[in-house]
Amino acid sequence: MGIANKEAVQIGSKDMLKAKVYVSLKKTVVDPQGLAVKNALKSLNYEQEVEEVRVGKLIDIKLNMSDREKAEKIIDRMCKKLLSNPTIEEYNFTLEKAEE
Amino acid sequence: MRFGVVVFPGSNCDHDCFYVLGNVLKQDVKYIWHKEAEVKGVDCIVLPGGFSYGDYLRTGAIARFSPVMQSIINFANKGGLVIGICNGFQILLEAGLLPGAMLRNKNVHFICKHVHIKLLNNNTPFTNLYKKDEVLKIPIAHNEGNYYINENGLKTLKENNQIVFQYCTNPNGAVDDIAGIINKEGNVLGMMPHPERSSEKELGSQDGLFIFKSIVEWVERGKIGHKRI
Repeated sequence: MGIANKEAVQIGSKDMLKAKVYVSLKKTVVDPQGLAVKNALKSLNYEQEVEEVRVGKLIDIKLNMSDREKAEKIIDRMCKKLLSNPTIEEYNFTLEKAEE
Repeated sequence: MRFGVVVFPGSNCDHDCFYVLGNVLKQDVKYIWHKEAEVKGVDCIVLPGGFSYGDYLRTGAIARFSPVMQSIINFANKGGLVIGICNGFQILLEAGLLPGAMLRNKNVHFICKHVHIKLLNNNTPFTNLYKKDEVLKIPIAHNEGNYYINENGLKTLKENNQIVFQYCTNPNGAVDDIAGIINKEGNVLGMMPHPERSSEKELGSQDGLFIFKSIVEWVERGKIGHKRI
């Protein structure tokens, strides 16, 4: 983390990365929220169009680093430790340049 | 013996637990603030109900990383008695001290009512004063009590007699009607129903009181050579 912070000072914030982390329930786990939303859509006459609804989470993280490889490792660790619960959830994430 | 009731920001059953242990059971009890990194002089830890850290991200997910938890995990790993009630149960799951996870209730409602649960295992520090298969009336109050564990996990729970309480009528969609489980070693219990809310006649049921009485009984008999932090 120390190195990453140094980078942040040298490169300036325009090169910094932003992570978008998506957390959702595993396919094998029933999603009561998704079902409720599906039923609500049904009552709005979208029954024909809607096959399945799953509710997940989107977590935006602005990083103080620009090294993609390192960022990937760090975000992956964050996902495993805190952002998702591997018993019921899966995650994926994308990294992009943070916009000013 | 001495109980320690952990207080997280957002705990709201901490006082109820403290009251039942101190005033009803006349036991020595102290609060443990979540920032205390070192917990000392306690025989049994109570993780109370509530909405620790606003239940942000997932129930119990943030509380699990509060400073007090590492010392509680160490205590549990050494055989110390830990009971998690409702949000406390959710924290124990997030901390990996108990297997499985909590999902939103099947009907996506907060459920707050008295339920009947059946006691499957009375050979634990927390249930030794009950009869096996006894039915208890204890209230639940939760939004995420839909206990989930995969098939292999459930098999293991059954093989080791780890399912301690089952709902007589499943209120929330929990796998196998599970209302409470214990770890394999038998010193960490998690339960969704609130025994501290059913410890006095005036509250409509005293069935929960015997959870706390069982703990006292167990410790005083010195059955598991229990450890103090």
